[in-house]
Amino acid sequence: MEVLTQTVGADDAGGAAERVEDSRKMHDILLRSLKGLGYSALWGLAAGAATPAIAVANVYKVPMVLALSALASLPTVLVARHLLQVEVSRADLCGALIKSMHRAALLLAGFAPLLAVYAYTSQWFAPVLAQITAGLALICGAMSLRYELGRVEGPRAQVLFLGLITCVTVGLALFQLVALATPVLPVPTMFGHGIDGVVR
Amino acid sequence: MSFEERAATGRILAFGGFGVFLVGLGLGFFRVRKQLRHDEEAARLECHFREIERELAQDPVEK
Repeated sequence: MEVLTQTVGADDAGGAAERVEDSRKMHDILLRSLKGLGYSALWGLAAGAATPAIAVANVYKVPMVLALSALASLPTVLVARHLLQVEVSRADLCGALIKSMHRAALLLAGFAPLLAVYAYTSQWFAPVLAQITAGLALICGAMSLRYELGRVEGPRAQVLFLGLITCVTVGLALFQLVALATPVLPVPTMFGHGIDGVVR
Repeated sequence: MSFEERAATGRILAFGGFGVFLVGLGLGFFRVRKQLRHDEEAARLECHFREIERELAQDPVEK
């Protein structure tokens, strides 16, 4: 008995509970990432439903755009956090970014059935609806990020500025990655050529 | 290298990179899930042993 009490004794008081908390946090973040990718794949499937080849390719391409935009913007966001001296850990910042992307992807998944119906029944409105839902998801993601960062302690202006930098960098990365993933929709859009197609 | 060639290279890198990322994410998830189960079991055992310890402290004759 003594051996047992020494093994999990007073020295380890609360240690196991803390480890469980850390592991659960990490588990939730990874699960949210995977769910977010799955939701966006659903939207991709619906958006390209009119053309089976595009729909199948979208299952890989749309999550790719989402994941790579987060990955590409992450270094900039971490540097901004360091320079702005915002008191938020890297894990919490990544968690906030993933949570906001998860919510944006959830919104995309919510519109997926409607989009699929339009993809089969309308030629011109389905791509418009797809772009509107994508825009709404972007707004939802930005608002969610603002909410998540709002819970961080520290000077409000710096935290908000960090949120703004995050939104801008993710948006810029999204722009070009959409161009790389084109065609996502059966008809060409202004986003197909990336920033060059919009600015020129 | 022309713009089209660069775009094609970028496309290959993006598709390949995401594949690697996806595999890493999947493996990481299962590893963390296993760790979580392990930690939960450790916490449960710790709680159980503390309970036994408390019972023994209340009844020192049996100890």
